[in-house]
Amino acid sequence: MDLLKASLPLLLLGCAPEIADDTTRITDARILAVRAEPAEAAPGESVRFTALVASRDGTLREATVDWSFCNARPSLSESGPVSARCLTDGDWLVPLGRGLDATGALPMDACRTFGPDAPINQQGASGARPFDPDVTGGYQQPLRASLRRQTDAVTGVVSARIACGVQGVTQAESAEFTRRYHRNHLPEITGFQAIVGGATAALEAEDATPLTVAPGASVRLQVQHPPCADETACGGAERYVVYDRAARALAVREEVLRVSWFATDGSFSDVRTTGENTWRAPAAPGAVTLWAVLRDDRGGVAWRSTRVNVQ
Amino acid sequence: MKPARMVALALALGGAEALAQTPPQVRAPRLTQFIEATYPPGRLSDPQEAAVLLELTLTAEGTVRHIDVRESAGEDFDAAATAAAQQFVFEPALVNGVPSPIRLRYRYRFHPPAPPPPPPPPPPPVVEAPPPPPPPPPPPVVTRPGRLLPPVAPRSAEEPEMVVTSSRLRRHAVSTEVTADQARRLPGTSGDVLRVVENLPGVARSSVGSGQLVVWGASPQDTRVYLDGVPVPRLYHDGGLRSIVPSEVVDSVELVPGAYGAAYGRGLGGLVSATTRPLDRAGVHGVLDANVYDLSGSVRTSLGNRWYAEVSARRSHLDSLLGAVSGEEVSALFPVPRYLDAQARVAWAISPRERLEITALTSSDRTERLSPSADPSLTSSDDRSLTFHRVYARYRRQSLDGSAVTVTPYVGVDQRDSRARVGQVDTSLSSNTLLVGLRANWRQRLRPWATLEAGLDAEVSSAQLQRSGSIALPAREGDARVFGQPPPDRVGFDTWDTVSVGLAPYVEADFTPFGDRLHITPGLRVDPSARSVSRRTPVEGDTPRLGLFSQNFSLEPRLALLAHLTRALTVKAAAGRYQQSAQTDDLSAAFGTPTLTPSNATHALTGVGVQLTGTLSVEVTGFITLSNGLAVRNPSPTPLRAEALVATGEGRAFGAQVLLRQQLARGFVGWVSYSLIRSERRDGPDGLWRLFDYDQTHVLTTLFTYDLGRGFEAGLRFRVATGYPRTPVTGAWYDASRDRWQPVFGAQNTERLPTFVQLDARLAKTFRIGRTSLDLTLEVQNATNYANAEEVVYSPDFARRGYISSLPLLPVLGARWTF
Repeated sequence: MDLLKASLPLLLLGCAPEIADDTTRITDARILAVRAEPAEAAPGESVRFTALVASRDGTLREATVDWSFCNARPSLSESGPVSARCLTDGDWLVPLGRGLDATGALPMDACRTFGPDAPINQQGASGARPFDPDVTGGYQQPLRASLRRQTDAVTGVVSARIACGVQGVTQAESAEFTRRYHRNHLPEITGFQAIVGGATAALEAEDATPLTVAPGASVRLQVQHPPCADETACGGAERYVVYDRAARALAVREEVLRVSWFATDGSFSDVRTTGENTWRAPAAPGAVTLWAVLRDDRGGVAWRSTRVNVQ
Repeated sequence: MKPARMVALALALGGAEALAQTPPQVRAPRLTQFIEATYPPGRLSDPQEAAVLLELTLTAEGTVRHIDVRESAGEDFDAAATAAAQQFVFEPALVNGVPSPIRLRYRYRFHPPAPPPPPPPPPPPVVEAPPPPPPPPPPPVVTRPGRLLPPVAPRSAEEPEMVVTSSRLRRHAVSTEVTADQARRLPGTSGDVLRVVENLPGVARSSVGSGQLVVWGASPQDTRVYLDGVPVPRLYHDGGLRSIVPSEVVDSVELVPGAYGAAYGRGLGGLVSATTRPLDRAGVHGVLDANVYDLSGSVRTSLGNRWYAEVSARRSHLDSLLGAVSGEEVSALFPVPRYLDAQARVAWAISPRERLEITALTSSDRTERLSPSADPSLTSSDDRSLTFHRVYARYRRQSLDGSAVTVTPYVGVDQRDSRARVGQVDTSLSSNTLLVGLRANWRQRLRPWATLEAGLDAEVSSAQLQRSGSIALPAREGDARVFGQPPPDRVGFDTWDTVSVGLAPYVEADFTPFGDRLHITPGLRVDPSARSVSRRTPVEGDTPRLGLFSQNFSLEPRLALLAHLTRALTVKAAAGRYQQSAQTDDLSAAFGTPTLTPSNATHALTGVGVQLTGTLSVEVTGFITLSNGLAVRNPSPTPLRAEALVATGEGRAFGAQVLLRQQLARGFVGWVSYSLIRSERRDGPDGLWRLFDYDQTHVLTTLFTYDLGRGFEAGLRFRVATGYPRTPVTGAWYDASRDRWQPVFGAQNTERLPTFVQLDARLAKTFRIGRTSLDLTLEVQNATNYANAEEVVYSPDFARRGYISSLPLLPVLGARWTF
């Protein structure tokens, strides 16, 4: 029976291949995140987009990123969050600028193209299907960010949250939603620290004195954000109203914050967590850069990075 | 070794009733060449009497075309009786003086061999009636007013030994029927009779755990499943491991991959028809069956001379077993299906050829899975359930000449609930359907060369549905996606009701201008239908909802030709039109299109069959199916409201299938089936043809069972199948908002999973315990432990990929006690 107990899970688990997730390892320059400020804006309002570009040597202070809005709507048969056309050049792309950051106004028709307002279809009819909202009740304007590297370019797509209101509700419900809803606020990282051998140390910026750990050491990492109360703007897990279509009433939801972890060496026990993770230092001595990117459900992003000296 | 003696063969046509119309004269077939069966050597140590009830299908020439075991006396006795009866020769049955095909029941009795000397006298070659005179004089058989046939022997004290049942209409040009007694002994089925369907020609291999039936390149939902003529929503429980009724209840299962007759419709694909075992055996009998998957039991009894009853039930325990030996973590991570089903049946033998059966059955499935993760965006759960109930009555009256009336009213309820959560994205679909229907069929031999069948297939369904979540989940045929891909986070919600009414009268004739040599079977099905949908447009504030009513009328002609060019050579051809209403799931104003029109298909086939020996035959069939009006996703980036789907899809499938089948002879039974099929789809008239998601070019299945003697039986199944098509991933891009890589797809369905190869082995031993028997079975699935790829999985950044493999070597133990 013991043998059976031991082997049965292996039999079942053995059906799935072991494909390691090494997306946390930074081996070449790549975009890890894009921050939109403000985190939610109405059509026509100006938004500043900033890319976090990581490389083997740490966070890049300069990089060539080509920014453009993508105004192509995905068809219902596309499984991705944006149209596949956003990856190709065409008149659906509206250039925004070049550099680590770019600023531009959200398209005036963003709520008609990607929001609850009925678009004009190809035949000129006005009864076209509006966009479905995401799980937070929001809508997004796609933005393409292509990072040029020495020999190639890598494409990333980010979605800027549009303040469009709510769709398919009564006038009273719409008014109530407008009164109670508050736009998303960027999350804030109030603490970034490591616990090594029972001792807690604050993790400083990359250009500050690095934390020193032994090769192969297990380091507990923590990201902290402020607590939030009620339905107010906050740098933590905000509460916001959303229209519950099943109940046909407004409901209050709370954001779930998650942290994505990256490093130039070593390994994490989890790729993404809600705030804590364990990083195992590499066996070989050297300098390692760590990044923690905090995201909320509504597209808000914040990040921290630090340097660790393994010796 | 002494041969057994067959001591009683009664020809009983008594109890006949005058029909309302003028029935033709019928003379029963006479046995002119009797073959003695060999008493099973394994029984000689404990010899006893036994009887096997066979159902013989005779040709107009009096040869035995097909044999079904209707009452088993044990696999060795069944094999011996079948092998002998296969060589019987009859003087054909005469209908109005014309030799006609017919089916009859024949009870083969085995007696223990007598002591060596003196040898027993040989059995009489022709036995027409038992000599013992019954007390009351037998009534004459009235076949035509004013004209009497000579009186025939009365029924035996308990039941007829031989009864002419009917000359069944050749409704399907190509079909494969397997009896329960045979199917249960085949390897790869784990003793489950209905699982034999996946081994039949024309059926694609389904992925492990899916249990989907892909027949002749049609979508799984296009193939309809019937139990005693009553539609049921599925053939298998969740996971495809077990069928919805236990094997003890099943009499036979028939697969018709296409071009079927006018009695059936409302489906573009094939049909699977299972029949329950007749309740006509005196005494109390039952079966207890236990295996790794479940525990089932069945008890049947006679209540007096004319009433019979049966109750049976089954419950899975695989989840409990896994939980006991591996802890809750495995059950939480892997979806272990939980199911139960139960059946209750009552039969009333109103007269020898008139029966009423009432059946109630229920089936329930539930599968739960929870995949926790430190990453809240990857935490997922899946909870599915399907419960359905059916209550139906089946009234049948048969006359001597094959005329018959069957009426089957039924009522049913289907309750389906599916909830999935990936990260923050909830997806749910629930439906509650009430089904009321009537299937009535009347068959009459109008002339010796013409049989007419007419009937009504009525079906009314009322469904309430609710759906929420991403429009992309569940995925549809033609969606480019990868396994495990999180659904888009755009979500919707809708509730809607539908009522569908279909009243389909049909008529079909079987013309035999040259006796049994040629059958010309034209048919016509008229299928007017009406449908209402509660909501024409999505919910918009407090705007009152507006319903939708639509009606449709279709004429569906069918034609089948069958010619027996020689006693061994048969050629056939068939064609037909078929129509299928839109799925109720697709009639949502938010997720589908309430105005979806029905889809249509045309089937055509031709084939040849050769009877190589008395028990060995080969059948080759070529076919083509064309379908249009298939519901596909609206390709427009700006579709109109309530038009998420459009009925512009087209399909075509063509190919051939070969079945080399050895009926039971000398303890050996099995077949080799091979299907060569190409199935394609396109989303619109201007689209490019692509491979159908379920296309499998080659499917080869070889299986056999051999009686080793002394109660031992061994079997093997070997399968080779082309892998399903998949859309290659040619790159990836980074979704910086969601911290997720998204795939870039290449040309749709232009690569395939690796070829599937699997060998299964089965070893069984039967112990005779008094009048009962105990079967112990060991089935080893994937005996070579070959790692078959079931699905492609990618690393999160799509830079690497691997395959999910099917189950490794898996021994399945089973025990079955029959009393």
